[in-house]
Amino acid sequence: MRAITWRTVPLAQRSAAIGELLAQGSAFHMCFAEDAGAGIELAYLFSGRDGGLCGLRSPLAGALEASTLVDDLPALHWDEREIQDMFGVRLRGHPDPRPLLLPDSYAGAPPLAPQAPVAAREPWRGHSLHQHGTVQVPVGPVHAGIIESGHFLFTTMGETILQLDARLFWKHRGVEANIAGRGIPEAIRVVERTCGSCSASHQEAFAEAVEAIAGAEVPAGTRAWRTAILELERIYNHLNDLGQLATGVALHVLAQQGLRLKERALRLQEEAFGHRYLFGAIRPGQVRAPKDLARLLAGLRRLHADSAGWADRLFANAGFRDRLAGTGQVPREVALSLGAVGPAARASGIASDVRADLPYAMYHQLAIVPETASGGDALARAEVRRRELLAAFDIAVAMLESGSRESSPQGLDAALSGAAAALVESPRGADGQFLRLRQGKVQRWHLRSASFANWPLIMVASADNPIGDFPLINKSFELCYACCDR
Amino acid sequence: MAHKAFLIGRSLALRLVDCGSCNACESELAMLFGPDFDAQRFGIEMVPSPRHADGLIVTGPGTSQMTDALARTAEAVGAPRVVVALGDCAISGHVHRDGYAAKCGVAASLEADLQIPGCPPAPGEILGALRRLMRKGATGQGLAASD
Repeated sequence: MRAITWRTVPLAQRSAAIGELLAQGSAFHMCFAEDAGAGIELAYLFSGRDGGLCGLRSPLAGALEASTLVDDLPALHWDEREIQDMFGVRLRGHPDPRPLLLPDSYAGAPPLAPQAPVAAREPWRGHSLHQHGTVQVPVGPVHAGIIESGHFLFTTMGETILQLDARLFWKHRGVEANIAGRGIPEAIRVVERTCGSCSASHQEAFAEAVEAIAGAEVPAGTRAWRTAILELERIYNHLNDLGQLATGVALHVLAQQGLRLKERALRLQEEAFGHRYLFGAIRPGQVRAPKDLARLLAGLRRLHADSAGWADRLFANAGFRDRLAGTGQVPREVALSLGAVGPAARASGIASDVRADLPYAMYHQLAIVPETASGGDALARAEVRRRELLAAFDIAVAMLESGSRESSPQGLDAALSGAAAALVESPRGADGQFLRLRQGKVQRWHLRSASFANWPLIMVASADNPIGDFPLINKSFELCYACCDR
Repeated sequence: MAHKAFLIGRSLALRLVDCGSCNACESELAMLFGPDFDAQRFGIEMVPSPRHADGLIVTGPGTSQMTDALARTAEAVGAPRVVVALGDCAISGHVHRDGYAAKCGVAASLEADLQIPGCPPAPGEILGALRRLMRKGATGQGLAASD
């Protein structure tokens, strides 16, 4: 999307520099480490009000440790633990320094800093409250259904959840280390398979980063079709996520109807773009043209009408509303402080949406107004999704009609060097990627998915709720494990 | 010696173990239980406990962190059991092959009785493959004796 304006800041002055950026109204997007040749550096990425990306870099100068900044910016707490695992850099004073990403059995050097010494790693221990009358309920990683792998440790008193601790990253495949050294065409095949539910968003962010490094202009017709593809991804995901809520409150007919609508969306995608989950649809400088545009448009219009009717029936159901209202609440200030993104942030009254804040593809022409609600509960998250689902149909149809096959920029897979970042509003919120290429090969790729940003919210949302409502609370966020774990 | 054929004459109860998939295989598997495919009419069921299962359906390249959970789930299902490797990752590791945290699919831990290729395999393909497995079970052909 855009190049980054970097500023080098000594370790000791990070706190002041970040405070200054936040005071100016800049938004935090990602924190990562990289070794671009001059030793490991910590990097913090923000966007200013002018829409530019601004990055702070702090060289470690061989020290392999730095003080934590979690007090300045609580949203950093998982990013710092990730840096600890992947680079062997100790973040002094971190309130929860347990390992995050790496498997228990891993005994090698930090995967992204192979020269760093092999550090002794503490085993992960769950946080729970041991007092008279409390009961610990461990669940997972294998679940009683078709659910991704993850472990939850509940401390309960009676029916009530006092505390939830979660251990994710059972699905950690080491994607960031594995794609280092690969060429662009090969790398994007892995990037799009990082997560099957957010694949088009991951493709778009990766493509935008490559295009920014190349300084390539992508033709408007290509950008329009990409926008349509990104909205199709939102449509089938929101249909799935609302349908999951129907399952969660045991409305089986509405749940089955939801699955049928999702199946129709997947078939339209396969017919038009050759893949049910849109793998291969977006590449640097390019987009796959819809195979039979008239047929796709007709199918989408029918699906729009049927989805609207289904959503009306779902939301008119008193049982549905009753179970969701007040369930899994996240107050606005908590969502802000933890750096919530996507429908979860908007349902807590935060009007942020990458499509509006940092428009990419054709969104600068669409003037997206973030859909917000104030409840911060499962019902508010469902309501935001419903409105976004219906709006996505209109955007997709308009963008399909205005797209066209145009000559694509050449030479994007040549020996490019440089770095860029890209942000895309996936169905679950901001999908941030950083890419550094050297001679056309990936030197460093980092993904901070919307699910990575939002998982910590679920711990907050679950406290004080009955344990029986946890599946419903979880479904009201419907986060991916795959693109969080990588 | 117990024979796997006896397991799956008329129904097939499976427990899912996700070993690092991208979730597309799970998404397609879930579609089997919607109105378009309705796998339950053929006696196919995903069960909430390994004790109720005839076997495992495994996705993903086999992450290191899931190795123990997969082995313990297999043990809880008991023997004889069937093992289904769902999708290219489970069969070979696919794009994640040979990383520091993922292996080359299920084969590294368990011998699969059925491989369903695809990235991801479509619900119709999954359903067709499971039904062929059930027919083999009914006739006792092509299934190895259990361990």
